[in-house]
Amino acid sequence: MKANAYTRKIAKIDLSRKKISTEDLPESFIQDFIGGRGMNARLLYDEVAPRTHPLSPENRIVIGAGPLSGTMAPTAGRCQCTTKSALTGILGDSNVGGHFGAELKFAGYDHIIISGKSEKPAYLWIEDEKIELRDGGPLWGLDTWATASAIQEDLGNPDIQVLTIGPAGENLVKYSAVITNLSRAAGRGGAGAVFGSKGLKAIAVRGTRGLSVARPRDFMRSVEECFRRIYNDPGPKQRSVEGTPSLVVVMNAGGFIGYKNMQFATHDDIAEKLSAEKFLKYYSTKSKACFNCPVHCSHFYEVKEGPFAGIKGEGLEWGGILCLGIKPGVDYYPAVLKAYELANRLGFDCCSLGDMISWAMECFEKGLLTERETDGLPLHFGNYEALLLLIEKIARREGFGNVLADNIVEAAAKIGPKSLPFANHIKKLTIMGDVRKGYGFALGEAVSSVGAHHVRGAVLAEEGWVARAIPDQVAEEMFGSKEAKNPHSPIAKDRTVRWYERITTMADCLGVCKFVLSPYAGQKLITMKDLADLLSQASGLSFTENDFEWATERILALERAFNVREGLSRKEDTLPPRMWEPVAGGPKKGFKLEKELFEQALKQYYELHGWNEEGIPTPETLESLNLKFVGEELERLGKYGKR
Amino acid sequence: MSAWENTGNAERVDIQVRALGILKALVTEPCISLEKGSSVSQLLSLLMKRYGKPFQEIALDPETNQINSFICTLLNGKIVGDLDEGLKGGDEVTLFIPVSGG
Repeated sequence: MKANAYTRKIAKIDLSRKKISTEDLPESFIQDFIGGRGMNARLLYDEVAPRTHPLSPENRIVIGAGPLSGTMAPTAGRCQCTTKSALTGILGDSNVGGHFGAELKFAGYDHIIISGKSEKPAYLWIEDEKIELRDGGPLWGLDTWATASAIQEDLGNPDIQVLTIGPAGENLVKYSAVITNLSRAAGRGGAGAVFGSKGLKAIAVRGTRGLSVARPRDFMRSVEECFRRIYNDPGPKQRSVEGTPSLVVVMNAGGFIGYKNMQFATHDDIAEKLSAEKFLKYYSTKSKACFNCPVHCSHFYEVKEGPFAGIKGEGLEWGGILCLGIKPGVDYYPAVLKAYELANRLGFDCCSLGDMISWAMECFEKGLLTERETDGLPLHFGNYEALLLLIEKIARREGFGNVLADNIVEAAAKIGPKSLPFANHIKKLTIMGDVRKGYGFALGEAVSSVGAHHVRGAVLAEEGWVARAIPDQVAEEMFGSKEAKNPHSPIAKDRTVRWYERITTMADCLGVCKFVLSPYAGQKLITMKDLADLLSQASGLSFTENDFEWATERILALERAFNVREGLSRKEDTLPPRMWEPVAGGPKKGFKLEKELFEQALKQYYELHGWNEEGIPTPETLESLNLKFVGEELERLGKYGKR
Repeated sequence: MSAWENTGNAERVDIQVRALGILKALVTEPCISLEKGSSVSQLLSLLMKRYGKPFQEIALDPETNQINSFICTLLNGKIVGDLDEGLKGGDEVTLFIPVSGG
């Protein structure tokens, strides 16, 4: 019998013992953790003991497809990769698009848990009920694109979906990614290094078992309604043409362009040169979609002339343009595309990669680095030849590349303390975009359970400029104050952050893309209620919006507890020095996040979640969330002090 | 009397219109003439009339037949909170669909 939404199977792979087994997903976990990110968090919490070294055999990699992944729900092909991060030492949790998640479901698995370390390089091959470890020796050293092709060729099927690391992951670069479908990355947090440490080159999957839904008529009615709304909304219309590169001109208009390691708020020239308009006109060849997505926000591209002629690839997202173009001051589009290609092929999180190099460029221009330390590379902003060479050196951990292959705090320890004021990170994860959009955006990034992150609670309405979108009365009803709409006020930001935590957490749990959810309160895209209906109809179980709200609280508390076990405390819920400075230009010129007001919002955020003043979920809160055992463990570890 | 209808004797002002993203291909004129005292809302209404269905499909909320509240407008670089805000000659209005994430 085909499964309804959930396959209820976990594949467990012990690389040390070459032992492969399958287990049933504990039924009680479904209502509590929903799937994907939530379930991964629970599995990781149970399997990884505190203080486990991220690169040791004892760490785990948990892959989780959401319960909607593989169904006809729009965009439902996403997948979550969770581990103890090699980069940050806390929770590493990253979401990836493409087709891998859906294929995993078709093969019959919701989750994969990988432990141990393979003696020799290996890759995992899953074909329905058959799971085997295969020789990864011939693949070791290949880039991600060559690896995927080699596996598909070796196994004789181009439809096989491959999630793989590149040389950066093999060489344990701490922000290496796992890549699928050319450029889809479980990027942030360094899962690639954990794969590398285990000698695991790739996971290949092909599934033919299919997936059913419990109430197909109701489900399809909901799916059609979701599609109708997506097609009618201007947001997806914009994305379907320009994709995320559309953010370039909008962020410049807003004063968040981040030019030169976020020293400058606007830069009309680079925004024009790296605009979506230029990308579409000169380089994009056609649109590209992930599994079952009507938005097709990605593109295939090609550079047809000039020194980089011949580059072909897929993707190019705002994060890539920002971190490999705008932040390092590179305004030559083909060079940005080359850097993006290298990042994907060598297997990097392109955001962290570009951030590290941009920071090193500022170090160089401020005289903290010279060509003697950089192996002769003149690391001036805009020097794309140096940038491209440095990317390859980092992937190989060669010379100065080895300094930049670790996290920014470790690198700063080598370069010197004067580099810290412009090391833009939260919990050792570099900040992708400027967080000074408002108190809600900054708070959301500061409390994210993986370190700096723009889609785990940051108030996107502050980024998206939609202050007038909801009436004052609605803001008061939803968030307790009309000041919730005011990015420059700390009032009610605990609640606006929670609103975003709910929709982003549930997207990551269910396996759908955040780009079709309503990113702004009141917008008529897909809502939490729609998601609850879709999951109920698909699974045959009963889920309400209220269930999702409780599940979010539970997942956030568990992720928080995972980090508390690792020693994280309130002092890490903050921003780096540059983000406390006034905005340098643009419409928000002079706006400054005040520490005292931020602390006030942070305190309210803790209270709203039932966490104590140190940001630790209280035993009472944990018990109310069916996580009593977590409270008991934190108590045993002395995390509550003397009570 | 609509603000964009030429009365023949009312004083008129020129407004610079900068459309971003997919709106750029639709709003082809960089300068729009309006009756003095017109608001941002009246400018948007004029654009809807002038650029027809392709623009309306994006800018108009089909359920309320009002200007879609998620279309963002900046007046001289500052976000417009109230579409009734008045315009004066030489003002620049930036128009875009909000985007985030990435």
